[in-house]
Amino acid sequence: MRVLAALLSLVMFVTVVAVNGSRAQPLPGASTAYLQCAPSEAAPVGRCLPIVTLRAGFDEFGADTQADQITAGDGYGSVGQSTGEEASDPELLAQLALRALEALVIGFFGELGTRLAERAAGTAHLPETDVELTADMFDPVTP
Amino acid sequence: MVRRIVAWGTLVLMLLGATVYVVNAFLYLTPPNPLKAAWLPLIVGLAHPLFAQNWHLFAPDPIRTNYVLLARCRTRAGITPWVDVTQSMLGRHHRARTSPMSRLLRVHLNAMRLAIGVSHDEWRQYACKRDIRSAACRGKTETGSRRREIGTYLLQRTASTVCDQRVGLGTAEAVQTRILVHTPPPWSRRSEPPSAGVTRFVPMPWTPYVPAR
Repeated sequence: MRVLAALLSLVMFVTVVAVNGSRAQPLPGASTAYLQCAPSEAAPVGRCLPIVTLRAGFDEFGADTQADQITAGDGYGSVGQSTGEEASDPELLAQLALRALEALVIGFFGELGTRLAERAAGTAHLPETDVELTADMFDPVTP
Repeated sequence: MVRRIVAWGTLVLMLLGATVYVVNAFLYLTPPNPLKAAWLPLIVGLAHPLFAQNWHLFAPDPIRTNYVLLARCRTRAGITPWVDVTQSMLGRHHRARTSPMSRLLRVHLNAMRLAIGVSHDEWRQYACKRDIRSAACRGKTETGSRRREIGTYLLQRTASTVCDQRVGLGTAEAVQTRILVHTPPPWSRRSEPPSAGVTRFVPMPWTPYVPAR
């Protein structure tokens, strides 16, 4: 009975919050991005940057591209997101783990990786991607 | 005897199914590698749509950017100031969680990503690591071009609707959008306000007003 009452109270609480809002402080009328890039004299200097080329982004943030870089199309140039700005410990560990896994695979399986890569390169249309795979894509990266 | 066979058969089938699922999920979540590439059609075919996952085993990758859309209208009377489309819809969503804003927001948020070529395709990201000048990395493939066209059209339609609300139905002659990509301070500087971050913008060209069909 107590459990039912507690569940009912929880459902009612969630419903009230959903309908009436959380009573949290309302959002300001304009976002931080808008204020930084507002075309007025009040906008802070140096916080709003136009698009940069991907190459410039690389030069700015380092040679390593990470997860979600933006590539704009013709006419818009390219935007290099600040993905390489700060390599956190989990990312570093992931990189190290990948290198270790790569070394392990090469060491234990020898030619198998190359054969699989050649097989992958023969795959005409991979789902979920428009990248054309080639066998040398999986050659070990030499820094 | 029959019951025992049925019980054991069921058990074996369940174990087999679970093993296939676990192995496939592991391969599905590994970063790009030759084994995954060789069996990608099969791996994706087994995982989608019921068992699709949008996280990656070796890449805890929280959202680090905020996308904001600005729009303005050109009428016979002149050009209106920029309107913060995203923030106004977000504010309405916060005031009433049951409003349709959470869904409507997705239209222009996805349109912005499409228009500027943001892709979460891990193979494309992998290709970029290997060769930044490749067509796939630069978004210069047929699929990339089509996505940008769709994104640009959706932004045009969104801005037209915003102009309908701001200056009156059908009053605007042309619309323009601007995509803002705000990067707040990183985790190591989390005590700083969002304004300590940096915003990059992508100006889009003026496009004709497109009325709703």
